[in-house]
Amino acid sequence: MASQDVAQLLVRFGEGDKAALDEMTPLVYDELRRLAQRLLAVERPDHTLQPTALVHEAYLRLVGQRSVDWRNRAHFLGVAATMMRRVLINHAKARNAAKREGFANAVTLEDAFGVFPSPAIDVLALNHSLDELAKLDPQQGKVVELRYFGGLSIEETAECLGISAATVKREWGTARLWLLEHMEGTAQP
Amino acid sequence: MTAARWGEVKSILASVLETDPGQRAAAMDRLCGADNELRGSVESLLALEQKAGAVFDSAIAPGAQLRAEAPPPETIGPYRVVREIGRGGMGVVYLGERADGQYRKQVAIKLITAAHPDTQTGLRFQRERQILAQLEHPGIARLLDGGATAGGQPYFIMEYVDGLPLLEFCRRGALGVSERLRLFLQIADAVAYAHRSLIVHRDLKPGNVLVTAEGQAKLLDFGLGQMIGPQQPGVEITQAGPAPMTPAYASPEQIRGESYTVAGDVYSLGVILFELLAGCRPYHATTTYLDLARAICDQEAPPLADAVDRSAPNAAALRRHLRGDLETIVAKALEKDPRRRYPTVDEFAADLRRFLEGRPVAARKPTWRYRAARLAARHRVAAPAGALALLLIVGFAGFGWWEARRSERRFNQVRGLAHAVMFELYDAIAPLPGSTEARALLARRALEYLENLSQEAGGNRSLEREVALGYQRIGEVEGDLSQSSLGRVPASLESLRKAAGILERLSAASPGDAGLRHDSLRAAIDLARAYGQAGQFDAGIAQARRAVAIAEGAAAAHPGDVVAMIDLEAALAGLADAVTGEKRYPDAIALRERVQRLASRVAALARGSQESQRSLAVAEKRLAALYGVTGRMEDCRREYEMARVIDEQRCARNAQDMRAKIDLSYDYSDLGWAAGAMNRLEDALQFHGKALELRQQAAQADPRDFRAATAVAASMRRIGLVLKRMAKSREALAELEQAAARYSELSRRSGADWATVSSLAETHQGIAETWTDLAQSHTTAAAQRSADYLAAAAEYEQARSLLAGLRDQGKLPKPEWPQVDELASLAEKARRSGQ
Repeated sequence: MASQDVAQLLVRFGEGDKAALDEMTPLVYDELRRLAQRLLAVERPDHTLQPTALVHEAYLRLVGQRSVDWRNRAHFLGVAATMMRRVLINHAKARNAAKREGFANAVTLEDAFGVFPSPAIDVLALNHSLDELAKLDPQQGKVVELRYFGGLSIEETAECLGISAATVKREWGTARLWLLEHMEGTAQP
Repeated sequence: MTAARWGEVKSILASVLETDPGQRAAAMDRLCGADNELRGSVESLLALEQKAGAVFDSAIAPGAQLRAEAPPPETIGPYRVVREIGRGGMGVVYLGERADGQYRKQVAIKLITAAHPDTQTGLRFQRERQILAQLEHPGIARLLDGGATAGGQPYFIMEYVDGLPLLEFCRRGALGVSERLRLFLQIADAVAYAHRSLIVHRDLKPGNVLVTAEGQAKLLDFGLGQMIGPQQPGVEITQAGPAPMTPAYASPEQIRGESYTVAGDVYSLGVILFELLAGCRPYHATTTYLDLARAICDQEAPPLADAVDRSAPNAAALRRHLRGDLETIVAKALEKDPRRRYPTVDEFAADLRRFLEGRPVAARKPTWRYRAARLAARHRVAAPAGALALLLIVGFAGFGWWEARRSERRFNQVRGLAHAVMFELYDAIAPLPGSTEARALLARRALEYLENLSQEAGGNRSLEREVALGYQRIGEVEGDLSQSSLGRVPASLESLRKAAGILERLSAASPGDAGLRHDSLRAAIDLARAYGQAGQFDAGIAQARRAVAIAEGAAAAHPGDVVAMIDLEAALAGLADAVTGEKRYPDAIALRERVQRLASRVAALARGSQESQRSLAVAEKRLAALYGVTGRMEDCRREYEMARVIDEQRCARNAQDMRAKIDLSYDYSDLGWAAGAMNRLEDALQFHGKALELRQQAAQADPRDFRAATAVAASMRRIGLVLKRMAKSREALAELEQAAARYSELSRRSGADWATVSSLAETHQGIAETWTDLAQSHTTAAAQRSADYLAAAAEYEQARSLLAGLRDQGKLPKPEWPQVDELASLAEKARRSGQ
């Protein structure tokens, strides 16, 4: 990924150009894939793959990206969170498709992403409920995305959205309840 | 559920979640009233609380797992990391110890992970750090050292303070009002001390104050704001904002992104005092940042006593205590208009002392006129005439006080502005491609202020030093071709001479001041180089010798001092350049070998510092060049190769680093030259091709960058000359013509720069020689041969007249003079062959 492109897109995004986020998405997503691929390639075949660690590293590289200056960092964390959400969703879909088609054991690149530790939640159901919550309350939806998918702390989330930490706490606390209720109410039998 | 309904449910749910389990039923009774449906929704959500906690545990959420931090580094610079002691927006703080076992002293290491690690900030860090290192006050945690990690992240070594954050210290000790005031006065005194050294804090907040068990308050992070936070007005300051600003403690002008002065620190101290006394901040940040910003800029702060939480124990007594003078003092510090605040922290502190001693305070309650004026100003559209009249009245009422403060205020304002422009804006935009013109403009604007100041300053040494550094920057941006610049050599000489003069005088007056000595040396060296670039070689050598003598003295007096070593390195390099200009190569080689040894010592000492890596690479290259011109080709190639390895690493570390890219392009170009000299022409062509590619990237990034554009032309010329040697004359001509066109454009751009004109002349000479080659080739027909010779003659003549022009203006170095006659005879010979 041309990091300069991302830096420019971040600036545009920061200036309110929402389309910049969409332009950035494939760049960042590709970068995650590319890094994972490269890391997989250098891994010795007799080693157990540790995909979480791989993605972990890819993510840290993106989040810690030097070329993105610090003023844009909050924006960047926000974008990265959106990206993580998309990566997870795509993976969950791919895994479901693989299961349907009987490729349960196939090790694809997506599976490298796939060993995310999320057994507690059906990611697709959460995604659906989160979309619904965002319709009711966009800010609250964003808080969940940043906290849950981006791993941002209360303070970072506050910084990213320009709201107080106390507000983030309240949004996060109440959103969890709403989401759980919504997911249980709409769960497929 | 509708959005409005969810809003209702959410707000009740949030309150209930914050209530003790035993009182939740009562809280719901109160909040839901008779709305049973509302209550039902809240209760059913509430029932999921425990499960939600487990399912959405943020610690095991995907994001949190991904962001799990890497373990702390084992060492940072020469310090061993003991453990993490804090973490904030800018980075991580570790407890550290000297790793080399010299002495066991605990320090705090602040690793800046949020800054923009880039090699150009290196020098700025060094300068600012030296200023900060001089802050010695019991209330300020000392800055001991600083540098950059192998990854280019800046770090600061600070005195380790074992204490509690300010508010917690007060809470635990249940401190009363006068005890809190005394503690606050310690802080104010420390800030005032720093202001006297012309350093503002910019991020004063209770979290930046630690109080030791002995009750000594210590301010942390003093001046780091200046170093880390490039603040650019006009950039949206939401959220993270320019690095170190904490909105809740920021002044209205800081929120608006205006330049930061002493008044900003006065305001932030006002907020701290407010919070210390009332238990809360004047503006509550329960909503969005934007609301907070608006409140800070537009709303009147509530009276101190009114802000006290009524449910607190002893609230009534506390409110009585705060009413009156304390309220007035705090309000004065919190004025929206910086000019209405205490002009200095000292005066703020003095008023508090008067209060403690029971004497009348200087702060006055705002008069009805002032209040009315503010009201009218806010409704100016509605009542313009009334507002104007009131403002006039206020103008007269405040006149005496204003008059007394006028000069001081103006001094602070101008200094703040000039400082912001010269040392913050300038640095902030320096790494941006395309910024050369903007930097020149900024520097010129700031110079106007600085000149005014220097006339007013009369003996203020720290200010004079700033003025000198200002001149130097202007000199740099206007003339120094070794940095990206516009190539205005003569204009810069005057500025650099002024800078060197002022700094030498200041340094002589206080020989113990290491920072001044460093600045003075740098100015002396820069001036020597500028003389050389302006073609005044004798003056350059004399100035360079002077700098070496000073630097040798300093290095001998401070053995092991890295800064002194770097200074000596730079002085020796300057002298080496000057004697090289006179073609005294053996002298130059001896000097350059010394430089290389010093540089590798410094690089070893400053492990991982990008700047020292670059210096080492430069030292290798300069030595290589001298080996090259004296025919020691294998030594030459080896040194270039070492430089190339270093620069490749620098480029790999930061792909954005344009300077590393240009440096690498020089390595390739030089390797190409060496290969050519060793008759490995294919290699040479390849090396030059790589160089050209890198240079074109840099030149495209900033079309006005003189150095990059020159480098592109130079690469084309070299490729042309290699092709010529390979007997590919037609291809050679094409490259050389392109190079000539570029040099010619550049020589018009820079005017007085002799090197560009002389390069153009050499290119014409190359073209002439290529035409001659063509003419002499066996395949050329007789008629064509004559035309080729005449073309060669015309090119020789062009080269001659360019050099003759330089010689007549006294800009051509003397050793080059014979070339003019030589070119004349070559032109003549070609002409005769053509006829």
